[in-house]
Amino acid sequence: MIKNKKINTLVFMAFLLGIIIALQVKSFNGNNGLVTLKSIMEIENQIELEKNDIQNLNKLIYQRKQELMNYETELEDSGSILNSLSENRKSLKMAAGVIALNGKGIKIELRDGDRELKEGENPNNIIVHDQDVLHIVNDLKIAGAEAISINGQRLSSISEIKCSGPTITINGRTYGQPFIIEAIGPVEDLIQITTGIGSYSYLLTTIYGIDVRVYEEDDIKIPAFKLNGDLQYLGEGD
Amino acid sequence: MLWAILGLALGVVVGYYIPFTYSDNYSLYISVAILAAMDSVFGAIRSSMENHYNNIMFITGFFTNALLAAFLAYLGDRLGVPLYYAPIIVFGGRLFQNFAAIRRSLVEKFLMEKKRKTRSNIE
Repeated sequence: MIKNKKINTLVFMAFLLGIIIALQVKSFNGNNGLVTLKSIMEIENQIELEKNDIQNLNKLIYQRKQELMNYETELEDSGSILNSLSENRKSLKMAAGVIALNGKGIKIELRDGDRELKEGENPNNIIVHDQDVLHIVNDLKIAGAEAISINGQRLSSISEIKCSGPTITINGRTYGQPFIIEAIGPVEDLIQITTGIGSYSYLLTTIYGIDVRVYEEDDIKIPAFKLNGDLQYLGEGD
Repeated sequence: MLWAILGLALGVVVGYYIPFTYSDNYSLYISVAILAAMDSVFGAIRSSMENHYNNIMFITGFFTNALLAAFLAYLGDRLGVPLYYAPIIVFGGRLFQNFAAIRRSLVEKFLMEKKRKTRSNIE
């Protein structure tokens, strides 16, 4: 009797094992192979990224629809959308730099330092370099400057800031010091990023001894950007 | 032994027809657990043939081995070390040993029976 019971357990366990094996055979898909936690995580990350993309695209669709609605209401109200289109064109022109601009902003003057050099010190330390100008320009952009000019040259998206000895070349024209950077934008932010402790221009004045002066201006005039020659390599995209 | 194999076959049939599947993610863990369970069942068949079969040892071994094997596979996945090799090697090796022992005892039984028969024939 006891032996019988034992054998029954064995049969039952074998039965259980059979069920599990069948389930495994049924569930296992040879195409998938072994799936590790790592690959699952990677795929999850990818899905997350795709979801973000979809969200962004949906936002874009929403924006475009809004614009379309604006145009439509305008068309209904006044019979034409010429006004808003020309406004659009104007702001694009302003951003591209093809028209002269004015507005509130700041003026920065950069001059070589006039302190005495220490013994054995490199005189390059007190000279304004192209990269100093570049760095300050970038800081201004970070602070939200909408238009920047250097020595009266509008800084466009293809303007170069090139070192040419003691002078700097911008838009193909060479200027000696002082370098005057003018920027239109949120005045307080611009002043903070050019005079704040820890900013790049603060470092220039305190450590290198370069003469950096920042003025707040009510009416900054930035001339239009003049293209030198034609654009040869650009083609229209989609 | 015959009964155990019959139970196994019945289990496969039943398992094939019950409408239950699990996620593919667990298939690695389940497969090493199956290996452990298979080892337990073969071990039980062997010990029942060698007449030192113990019910409690078999049942506890069946479940704890399967759980430990699955857990090792999971832990290996977490640690980035393929720890599931451990159950595969240990239980796979033991499966062959058990099978060899079963075969030996079967053959011995068969031969002994034959001998007895021939002896009784001679007498």
